[in-house]
Amino acid sequence: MTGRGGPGVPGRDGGASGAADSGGDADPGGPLRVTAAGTATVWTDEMLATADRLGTLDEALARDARRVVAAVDARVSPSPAALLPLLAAAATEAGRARDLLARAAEGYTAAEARVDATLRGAAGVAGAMLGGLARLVVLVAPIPTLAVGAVVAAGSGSAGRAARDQVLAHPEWITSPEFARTLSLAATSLDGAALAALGVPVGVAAVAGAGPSTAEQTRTGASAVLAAGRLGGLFRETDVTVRRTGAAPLGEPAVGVRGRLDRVPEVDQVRIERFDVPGEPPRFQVYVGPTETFSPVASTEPWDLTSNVTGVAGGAAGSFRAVEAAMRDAGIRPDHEVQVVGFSQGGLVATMVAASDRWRVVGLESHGAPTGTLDVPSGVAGLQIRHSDDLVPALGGPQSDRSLVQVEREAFAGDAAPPAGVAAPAHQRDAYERTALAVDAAGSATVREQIARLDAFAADYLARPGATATVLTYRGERVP
Amino acid sequence: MTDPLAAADLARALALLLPVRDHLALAAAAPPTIGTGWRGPAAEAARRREAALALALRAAADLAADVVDALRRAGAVAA
Repeated sequence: MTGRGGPGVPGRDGGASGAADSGGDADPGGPLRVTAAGTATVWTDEMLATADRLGTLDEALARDARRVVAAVDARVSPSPAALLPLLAAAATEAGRARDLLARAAEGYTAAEARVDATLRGAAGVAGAMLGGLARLVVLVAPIPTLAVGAVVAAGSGSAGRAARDQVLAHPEWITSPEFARTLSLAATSLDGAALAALGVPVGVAAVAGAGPSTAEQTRTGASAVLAAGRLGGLFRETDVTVRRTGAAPLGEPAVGVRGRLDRVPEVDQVRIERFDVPGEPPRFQVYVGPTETFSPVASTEPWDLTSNVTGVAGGAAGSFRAVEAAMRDAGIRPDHEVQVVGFSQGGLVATMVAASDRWRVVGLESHGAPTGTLDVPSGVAGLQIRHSDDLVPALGGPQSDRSLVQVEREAFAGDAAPPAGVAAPAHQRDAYERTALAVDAAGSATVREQIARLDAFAADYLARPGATATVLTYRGERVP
Repeated sequence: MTDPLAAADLARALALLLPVRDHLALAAAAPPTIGTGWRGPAAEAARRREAALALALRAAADLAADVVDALRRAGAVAA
């Protein structure tokens, strides 16, 4: 959604909005950019908070005016009546300021859309021109090189390792909004490349690649990657099993965005918290962990690259089926209220659960997830949080669904350099932990209301007499 | 000499306008909310607009304070 520099763009070069500090280090992240649910206009959290304040001021000035009118007969000098034009003038200025903020946000959004449209057209033609399976692999090379280094390493031997080392030594190559945006648009052009690979002329393939929606294009492209990979024995889905690895009483519910992210599990990939109140149906909070292996060859780990690509393609990823199995084991019925939280692939799976009509999901919070192809039902509370310089969410294509509040920022903004030697620095958990703190410190009502709704899901229940909470953990495995 | 009717009217007006004075004083003293992170012509326009709003609020706050002072003086005389 963003690029660096450029005049007239809100929050381009500044430091963190709601700057958060993690472990004593300054937060290198940029300002939060927020898109309210059901809209496409991108605001900074600061602009939204200012607009909120102006709206509150406008109401307060109207209240002041009513009091002055009620006191207008008082015979003193200066007369209370003299206040009325000044209150009107202040209200006018507040309204102008709000209008200006709205126009700035709309102008910024329109400029971003123009850049996207230009890049998308170019990406579609480029994808078509890169037809042929070999070229298709070249086109998706950023995926294996950057997110799935194993493909290049395994396929190209020392050359692949050298490429990987170069990327690790120069994280700035892959840690920028421009790179992520290009990758996101490339994800939508893979279907054009696939058609070209089948021999469709470039012009026709490019038009086809410009299809009806970016979500469909991305799904088709991911399907093409799956098909190409399966020719070489990669990306083969399997059956999955889950086993419960733990059950214990739960103390306090998670509070805040950072509190929820901290509960997203690793290794045992699923954590389910059950909240019971006498006389009421139970509620469940499901946490889904991130990718455990980037090997494109399915082994026993369902949280793998196969699940990532399958999920983006709209298929029943192994990790998704494992989460559903864990949910059933935990006693979740289709009519029970569920809130889902996930990071990276966990966010993708959490969003797949929310998008499924098999569960009654009322809240969703995803961090750094490639969710661009998924539609979440309206009315679900929550936030989709991602870094604009993180390549992983970009692999899911542009975010098409706007049912949830979208929160985005650069993990490494301005002059902040991403750390060398770390694969995809903007996708690391510590980067998202810093952003979670920044989101918790957001000033706009748009963000704060969603945090409050997510917090209330468990807290409201546990505040009732006789309430209890239990935590269950699960490990999923593939059955080759 | 006491005018109970006038004193009551003035007290009522004072009760109505004290919250107005306090609110306007607070609003006029609020720091700018548009930070330095937003740059460019639109940001400058927004800052100018916010400054104009602060001036308008200051003018209203000053007059509200004067009106309240006048009501207090008149109330003392009426009492």
